[in-house]
Amino acid sequence: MNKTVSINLSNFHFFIDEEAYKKLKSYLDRIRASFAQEQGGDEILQDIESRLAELFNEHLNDQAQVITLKEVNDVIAIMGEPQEFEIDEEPTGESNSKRTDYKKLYRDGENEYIGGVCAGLQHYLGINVVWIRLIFLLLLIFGTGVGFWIYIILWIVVPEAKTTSQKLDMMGKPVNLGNIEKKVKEGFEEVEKKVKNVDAKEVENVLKHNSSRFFKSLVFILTKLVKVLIKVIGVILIIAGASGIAATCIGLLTWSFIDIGVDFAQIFEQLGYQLGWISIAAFFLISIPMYYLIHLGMRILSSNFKGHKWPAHIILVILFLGSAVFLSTIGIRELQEQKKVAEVNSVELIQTRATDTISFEMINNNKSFNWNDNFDLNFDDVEIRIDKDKNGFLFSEEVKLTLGASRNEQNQINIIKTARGKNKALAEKRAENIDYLIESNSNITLIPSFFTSPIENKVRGQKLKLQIQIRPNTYFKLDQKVYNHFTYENRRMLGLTRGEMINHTLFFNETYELKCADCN
Amino acid sequence: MKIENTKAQMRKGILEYCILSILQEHPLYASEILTKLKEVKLLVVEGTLYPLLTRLKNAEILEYKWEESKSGPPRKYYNITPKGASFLEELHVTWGELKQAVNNVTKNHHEQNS
Repeated sequence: MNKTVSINLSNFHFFIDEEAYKKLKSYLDRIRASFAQEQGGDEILQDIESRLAELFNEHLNDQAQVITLKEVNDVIAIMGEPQEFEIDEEPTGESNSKRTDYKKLYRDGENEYIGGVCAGLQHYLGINVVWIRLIFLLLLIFGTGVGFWIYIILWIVVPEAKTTSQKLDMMGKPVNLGNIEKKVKEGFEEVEKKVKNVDAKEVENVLKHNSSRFFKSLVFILTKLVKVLIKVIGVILIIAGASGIAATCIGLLTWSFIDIGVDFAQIFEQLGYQLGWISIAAFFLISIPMYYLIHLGMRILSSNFKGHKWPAHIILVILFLGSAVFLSTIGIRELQEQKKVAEVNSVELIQTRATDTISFEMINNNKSFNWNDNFDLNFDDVEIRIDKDKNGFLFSEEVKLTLGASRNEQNQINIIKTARGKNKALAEKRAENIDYLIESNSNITLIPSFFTSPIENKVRGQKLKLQIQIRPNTYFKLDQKVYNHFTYENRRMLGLTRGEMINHTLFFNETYELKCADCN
Repeated sequence: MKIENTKAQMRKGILEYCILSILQEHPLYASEILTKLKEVKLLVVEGTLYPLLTRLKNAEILEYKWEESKSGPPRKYYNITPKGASFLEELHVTWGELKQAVNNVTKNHHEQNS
């Protein structure tokens, strides 16, 4: 049994034994080499090929459908070896024995990276290929792609050195000015002749041939480009994966080890989270996909990269899924703990004589607190801060103020505390745990701009609303900060401008309208 | 001077002359030319013909036209150019003279020997 190869010889289709194919190919290569220097050498080869096809057709019949070594030998015997063709091999001959002694530019298919253009230029110019590739790369990057087009054009135009004689030409003597001139002239003559010999039919054939060659090389170029692109993608994947893992490690280590006077683990535990487990889960959740990115990149870069066996993969996948489940449980629990809202109301009475003017002032910092400014963990409106004993507490400036006339003959501030929880009772408890203290001494009422709560209460949408209610005909003053905490709707409802309200003596009249007592 | 070279040169000249003579009557494609040449045992190997045809074409002595064939791809039909015709005319004359000369010389020579 023999393996057969399918060949196209001058547009005839043949099946040929592999051994016979090798013989035929080397025979054709010999012919090509012997006519390589000759003008019209390609044409001679084509003619010979079409005659070979004819001879094979004569030799084959219904019984024998495959060309064997015997047929090839017979046909070569008829056609003869290339040296036998040369019936005018005169030592003095000059017309057809003009074997050139200068180099020709070929693509070097043996040392190619993409198309062998750079390797070919290496032989032609006598410069190391590394420098040539570097120049192309620089032209590609800094020459807005000039390098790319030069390369593509050279790839299409410059033939690949296939036969021995072409390879010898490729590596021949270095080029000099005289040689280049000669070559250029020769090139022109060739073109001139070709133009003269134009024949419609021939042109059509040549075009057909060349366009198929062009598309073939286009496809070839595209596949090569895709190859290079894939390698680049591989490198990018590895870099992305590695930097992802590095960033995760750095992030987690910073949290764990950088000392800013805060015990994170404790704070998180008080908040109800296991920081250690969360960190580990987060690490796996991020770094395992990153690891597979690197894996993929390696696979792309080198086809024989195996990685490790399946048990390792299974462990990684389990770790990943476990982390995902763990973190999402925490997330779901978080959501559940925010399900219900509750409000807790209390009233702060402002004791004052009827003739006094009450001053409302806002304080930013209750002197009893002295927190660490370096630390501020922000969850929406509620933050976690650290007091001077390094204990965490909840802190929020979510204090909304409204001003209105009192209908019950009392000057008072209604304090409405809001929080969320799994159920109504828990939410209410949280709301009660909001610490807020209004200080009233003589005629000055100090309103803090913030509230706090013990850290155990966790961040659960804590909010504070204050309703300042003043009896009609009682004079009072507001400072700028108090005014700033008024809600937008309230400011509009009150009807006075900012300038009229801040630091002016104000009162509500009998019809509960806000009036300015000392405005011009 | 090698005998091989002399023979080769003689054959080349004669071969060109014969090809032109064959094509003088009507255009032929390579395989038909080969058949004619093989009939008269002028060719040792077929491969010889193709470089010759191409060179003659390049020298503008021959030209070719592609013609469709029933049994395969288009064929190149070679034909003599006007330049080739006058070239052949010259060869005719030269060949006539040569034949005469050779005949005379070899005849005398043979007669002397016998």
